[in-house]
Amino acid sequence: MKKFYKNPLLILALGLLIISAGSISATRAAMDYQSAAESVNFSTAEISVEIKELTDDGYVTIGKQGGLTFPEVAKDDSFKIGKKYKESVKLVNNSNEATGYSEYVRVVVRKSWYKDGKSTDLDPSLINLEVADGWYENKAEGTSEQAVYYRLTPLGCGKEAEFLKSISVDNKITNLVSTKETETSIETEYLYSEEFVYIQLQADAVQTHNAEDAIYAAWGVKAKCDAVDDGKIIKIGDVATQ
Amino acid sequence: MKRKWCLVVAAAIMLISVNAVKPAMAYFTDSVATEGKIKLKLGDSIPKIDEKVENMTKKITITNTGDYDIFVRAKALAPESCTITLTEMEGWSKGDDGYYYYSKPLAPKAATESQLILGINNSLSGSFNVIIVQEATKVLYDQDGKAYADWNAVVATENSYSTGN
Repeated sequence: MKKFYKNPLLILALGLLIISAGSISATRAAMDYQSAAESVNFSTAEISVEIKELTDDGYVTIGKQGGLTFPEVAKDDSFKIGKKYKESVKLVNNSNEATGYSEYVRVVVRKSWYKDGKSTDLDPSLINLEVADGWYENKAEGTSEQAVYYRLTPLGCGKEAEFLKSISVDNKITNLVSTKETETSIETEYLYSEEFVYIQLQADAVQTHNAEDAIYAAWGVKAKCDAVDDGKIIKIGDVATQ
Repeated sequence: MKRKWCLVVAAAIMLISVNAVKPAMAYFTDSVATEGKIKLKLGDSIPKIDEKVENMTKKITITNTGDYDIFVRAKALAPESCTITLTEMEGWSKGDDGYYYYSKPLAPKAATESQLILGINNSLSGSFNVIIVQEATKVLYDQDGKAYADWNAVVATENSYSTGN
């Protein structure tokens, strides 16, 4: 008996035999299971959001494919100061229809002046973007350059929400000039001439299940909802949203 | 003994890592971004006047010589003994401030479609000057896209012509 324990080859052989027997039976079991469960489909949820801009050809998806084209502005010879141009941008919940999940959405808007780089000495608040009804602006996250808007109710799968309605530039910029004085003349130069109005939109989506934790984990914002899942956002930070 | 401790530490790190990764992957999210730019052009345009004087009547055309849309107006500076009479022409009207206003904006290189016709009548004899001052201001727009002028910001030039005996 002592010899048997002391012979490592025998122990190895016995071990291999046990493992082989085990794996064969496991394989057989798996095969049996597979054939019985062929009709079961399992897919994980897929949350997705897209931005669409209204053009002459209808709403067109933008983002990875291309940027904002401002079609109504393009119809004019030049961008007319003060004129409110229609600019319709909407968000669409294009999540996997098979799973059909709702999502919370928010849009981070960044606006600035741009020439050879960002013109940090010019005032972004002179660029006016009109946001559609149904969006809550969280002032705590806002600056003169950035605004963050939350859709307070979940956006259903396949549903859409208009976000942007128009764009304009304040007439005030025509009064903002720098002057160069010489002995014989005074030259004025418009501070905003040849500048670009630069708009960035970032749409974020997060699942509606376990809403408050999901929003906090994804966006770093402490929100309070009126239901654990799929609820309405009633508070962001310490501020009530209504 | 040392090896045993190493194994315990490695196991602990692994447990912590697994726990740390789990919540980060627990929520479904998506994000998409886009951007766009619009170029802005701002500047002044100099109005150029073209005058013809016939039979004590001035016929004035104003041209936009610059690169930007403008509104134009003109004023006649004359001695008190002079009476200036506007001949009704489409697009021109007299304002309460003594200026004659052209109602339509002028695109770059465009001229007023109708002439400003001013009749001059002097009750005294002798030589006198009637000076025409033309002014322009950039076209501004209200929210509906309707053009309007802000005459507090003007670009002005003047032409002086001697007329009469």
